[in-house]
Amino acid sequence: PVSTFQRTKLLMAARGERVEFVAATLLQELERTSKSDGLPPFNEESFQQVIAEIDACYRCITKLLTERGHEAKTDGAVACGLTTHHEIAVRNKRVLLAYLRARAMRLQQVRWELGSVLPVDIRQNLAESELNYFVSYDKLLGRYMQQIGLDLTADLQQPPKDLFLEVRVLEDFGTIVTPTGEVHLEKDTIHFLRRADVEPLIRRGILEHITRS
Amino acid sequence: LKSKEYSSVSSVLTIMDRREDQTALHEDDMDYVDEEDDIDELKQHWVNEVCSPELFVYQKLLVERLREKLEKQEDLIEEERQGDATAVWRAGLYELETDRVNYLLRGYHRVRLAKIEKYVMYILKSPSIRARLSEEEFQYAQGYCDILEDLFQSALLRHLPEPYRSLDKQGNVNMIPEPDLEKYVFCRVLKDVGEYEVGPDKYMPLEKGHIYLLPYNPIRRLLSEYEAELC
Repeated sequence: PVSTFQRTKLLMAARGERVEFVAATLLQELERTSKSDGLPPFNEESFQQVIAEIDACYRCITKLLTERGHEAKTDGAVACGLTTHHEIAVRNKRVLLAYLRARAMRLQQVRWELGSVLPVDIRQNLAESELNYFVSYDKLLGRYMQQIGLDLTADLQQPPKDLFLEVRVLEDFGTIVTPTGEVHLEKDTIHFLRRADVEPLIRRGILEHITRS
Repeated sequence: LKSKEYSSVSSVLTIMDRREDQTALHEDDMDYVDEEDDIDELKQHWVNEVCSPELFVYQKLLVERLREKLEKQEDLIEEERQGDATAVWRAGLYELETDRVNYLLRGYHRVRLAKIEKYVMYILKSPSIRARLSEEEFQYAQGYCDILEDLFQSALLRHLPEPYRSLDKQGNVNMIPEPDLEKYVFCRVLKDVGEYEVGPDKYMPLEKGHIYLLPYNPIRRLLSEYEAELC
C-alpha cells in the first residue's frame, strides 16, 4: 500500500512538476545532529518555506472549490486535486509540529542536565518562541519540585553508591562551601568530597570523577 | 536495578529495622502498612511505572510515610555526628541510605513526570486518567500543556490558514499521541491465576512465581489487583 503522500509525489512527477518537499529536510537536519552537539540553529528559512507551501495548497483548494467545487463529486480530477493539496498541507503541518516538538524536548533535556541557565552556544540557536518555552519550562519544573520538596535533577544517572567521591578539578572554579568546610577548587587539584556537593559540577564538566579500576 | 547491592547495604542498618532476607513483595496476607516493606513497595511501584506504557495511581500515602521516616533519620544523623568515631561512621551509613531512598523517590517522580510530558493532552482529556495524578502533577500537566500550546501557536499555528490551526484534530484524524497499550511487557505473576485471556481467544495458564512476556492490555487488571507486577 502506497501512502497518500507518496501517491501525491508520483502524480506530480508524472505531470512533470518539480517535486520538492522542504519539510523532510528540516527533520533530517535534526536527526543528523546528535544531542551532544546541542541544538542546530532554528532553520527559520526552511520553516517559512514550508508554511508558504501550506498557504499555496490552501489557495489552490479554495480556488478549486470556488471555480469547480460542484464538479467534485463527478469529476475525479477535481476530487483528486482537492485531496492532494489537502494531504500535502496536513503533512507539512505535521512535520513542522514534529520539528518544534523535537527541539522542545531537547531543550527540556538541557534544563535537566545543565540547570536554569542556558549556555550561550545553545541560546543563540533558538527562535524567540523557543527561548520563551525554555523560560516557562524552567519555571514550571521549578514550581513542581518546590511543591513536592524534591530536587529531581539530582542523581540523574545511577543510585548513589558512595557518600564521598574522589574528583579532579578540570577548570578553576573558586571556592565552594561544604558541610565539612570550605574547599578551593583549583585546576588540576584532587579532592575527596561528598557526592551531593560535587555531582552537579561533574555534570557541568568542571570536575572529573576519578574511579579506581 | 542492582537490587541485590541495595539490599545488602541496607540490611546492615538498624534504623529502619529491615529484615535481612528479603521475601516476596506481596504475600497473601500482607499488611501494606508494614514498616519494613515501604522501600520495597516504592521500588516496585517505580519499576511498574518504568515498564508500563500508562500511568498508575500516585502513591501519595506511601511517599508521605517514607518522607516522614527520612526526616526522622536526618535527625538521628545529626545526633550521631556529635558522638564518638563509631557514631560518626554510623551516621555516614545512615546518610548513604537516606541518599539511596531519596534516589528512589526522585526516580519515581521523574518517571511519572516523563510520562505526563509525553502524553499530556491524552491524560488531561480523560477524567479517569487525570484522577491518577497527584494534585501537584495535575498542575504540572496543565502548565506543561499550556506552554507547549504557546510554543506551537506562536511559532506555527498562528501563521497557518484557518482550517489548519487546530492542535488536536485535523479533519477526522486525532492528532494526540496515545500510549501503546498493546506493548509487550515482562510481568511476574504473584498469585496462581489459572487460565487467563492474554489475547483475543488466546488463553494461557499463569502460575505464581513465573515471569511472562505479554501484551500490556490483558494484564492491566492483574496489576491493579496486585496479582502481578512488572519487571
